[in-house]
Amino acid sequence: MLQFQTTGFNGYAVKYSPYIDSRIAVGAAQNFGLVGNGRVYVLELTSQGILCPKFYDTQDAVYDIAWSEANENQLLAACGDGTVKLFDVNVAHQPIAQWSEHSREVYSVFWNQVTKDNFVTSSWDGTLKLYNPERAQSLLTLPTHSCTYSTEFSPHSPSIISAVTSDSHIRIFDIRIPASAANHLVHLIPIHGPAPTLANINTRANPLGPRPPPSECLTHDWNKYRGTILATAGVDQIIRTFDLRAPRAGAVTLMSGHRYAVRRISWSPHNSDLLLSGSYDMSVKLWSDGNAMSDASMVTPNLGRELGEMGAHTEFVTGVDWCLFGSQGWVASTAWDQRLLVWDARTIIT
Amino acid sequence: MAESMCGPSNAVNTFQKHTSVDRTLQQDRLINRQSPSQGFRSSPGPNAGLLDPEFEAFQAGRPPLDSQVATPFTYTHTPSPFQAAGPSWVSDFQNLNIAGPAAQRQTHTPQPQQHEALKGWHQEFVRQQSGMNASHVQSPVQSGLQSSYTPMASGMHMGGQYMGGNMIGGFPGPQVASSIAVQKQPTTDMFDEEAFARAFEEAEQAELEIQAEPEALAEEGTVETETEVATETQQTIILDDSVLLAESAERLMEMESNNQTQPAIGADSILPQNQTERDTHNHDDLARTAGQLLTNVSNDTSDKFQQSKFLDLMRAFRDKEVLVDGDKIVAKPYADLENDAERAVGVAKGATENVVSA
Repeated sequence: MLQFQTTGFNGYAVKYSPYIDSRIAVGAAQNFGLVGNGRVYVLELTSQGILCPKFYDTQDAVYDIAWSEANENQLLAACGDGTVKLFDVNVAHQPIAQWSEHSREVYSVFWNQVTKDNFVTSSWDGTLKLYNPERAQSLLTLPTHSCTYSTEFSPHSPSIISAVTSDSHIRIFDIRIPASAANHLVHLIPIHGPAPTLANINTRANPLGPRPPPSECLTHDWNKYRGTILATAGVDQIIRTFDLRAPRAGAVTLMSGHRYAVRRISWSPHNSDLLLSGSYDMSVKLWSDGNAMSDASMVTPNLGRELGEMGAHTEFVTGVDWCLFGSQGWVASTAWDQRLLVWDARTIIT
Repeated sequence: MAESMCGPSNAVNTFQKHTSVDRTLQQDRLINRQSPSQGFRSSPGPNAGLLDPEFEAFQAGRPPLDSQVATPFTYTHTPSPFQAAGPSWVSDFQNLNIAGPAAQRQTHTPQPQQHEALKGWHQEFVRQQSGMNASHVQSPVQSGLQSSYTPMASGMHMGGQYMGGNMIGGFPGPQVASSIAVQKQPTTDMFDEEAFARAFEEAEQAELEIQAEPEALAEEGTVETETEVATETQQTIILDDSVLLAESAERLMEMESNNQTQPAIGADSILPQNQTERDTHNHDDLARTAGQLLTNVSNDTSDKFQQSKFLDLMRAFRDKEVLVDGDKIVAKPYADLENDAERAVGVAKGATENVVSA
């Protein structure tokens, strides 16, 4: 297990470069993100350990980062003051571009992985914004009317944007459909389950007990192999997967085991069933949602399986990411204990 | 995400097909129409000069100048006070200058202005398009009726009563505004923004009235009641695209979730504060939040939680040992300690004074 100390800054996000196997970035904030500055670390994995050739200070906390999919030297930072900053590794200290359109904290940023020419941000102000890095203004604003903790493009489509919000819903936007009163919204899926009706109250047996109340959803991720599957997690500690082919069917899989809210989840880029999660219970857990197993139950929702736990972090875990390169299974995690850990997820499988 | 749109057809699917046409520019097109003479329906018809005296008479509530022409043309299908003019009203109507022979048969159509051309609007349109525009304009005075040729306009005038009360948007607005106000004015730009705003206000106002007192409007005036009945027969035409858009979106949302009824949770329940509020309440709020957080994790006895620096900080916030000052976390300011000390001294002094006086 490799380690890097982000002294003075509590980690909020970690991302492997999609281009360079030894490059990794960490977004962090002073004072646990309550007040103070932020910092973006650009780190190199070397035979001497993890080195920090570059870092960028920001006025406000950095809550999320995203590498450019189009330029191996550029990365984005989502900041607490509502700005999104684009940094270039070859340019010291200052961002090469900045967008100040959100009125409150920007909680997530995600680069389009298909067309690679735009990116999307989400904010506490209840909007998503779509940007082209070469344009000074955002291209599109999608309202969610709720604090939006996480947004992503589908890895299989350049025009499908997902977001999860404080109001316990998944929103799926398709920017190909014409703008109408629905603002490109095609699905609005209640994460805590559909409202009970006479028809489903008995048939929709939930193995984890009665229908949970709505709770804030903090993170989500698209499965990299099954284009209609995405996973969500948040304050109610349960990781759920949903199949967009049946948006009203409720969760396909429930993964329960974290003892506090789940802050970040990430599907494996190598296996269609593996999912990594970081939680406020200070642990990182590895899950299988069971779809690769032949005995997968036809009854939904079925329960995923916890494969292992990494407990080295000593504060809330806020960022996890998989390495795309090398031997499959290397991951990075960051936490409020001011440490970045790089480790092999295969070693924790029990 | 076309998956969910497959399968059996239903009403909402049909609505979505309607909405999948981008009509956001339609309003612009209307606004851009600077002069009414450019619009094929806006210029007075060939018999505009003859219309005016009749219309004035109609407005004044008495028979037209020509005593042969007795009855206002609007009330061909429902009883109205004006029908007291006599059983010969039908022929009177036929004698009206506004009605060409072709239009006389269309008594079911309530908008007389649709018949004002001798052989129907489409022919008039063709004529105007073929460069004969100027020769047909006999008078610059615009008839008020003409400005409300769209069925929607009279509907809007009714305050959207038949539309479920939720129709506010759409281009008919200025026509509503002008249908009364512009009646005697020379042609002006009737698609100006003020008219828009006014129409929107009127529509909103009317909507409120309807909600409060649904039957009140029906009694407002005979004219409007007539118009309402008339428009009901044309609901299919009336359903303007913007109505469709709004309705389909509304239904989609209602269908998708009971989201609106769900109370705000988490971050959504935190309302944005202005700076002064933030300053005054910040310390207390932070202390309270920190206290709640600590209560939530109080059952956790693991070493990690006991040694957590974050939870230590939360304890300090709860006990107000530290404060947020600007963008820094600082220990409780000395000024407060001094104040506390002074207060303690004061209390002590007071106590001694009391003791002395006693």
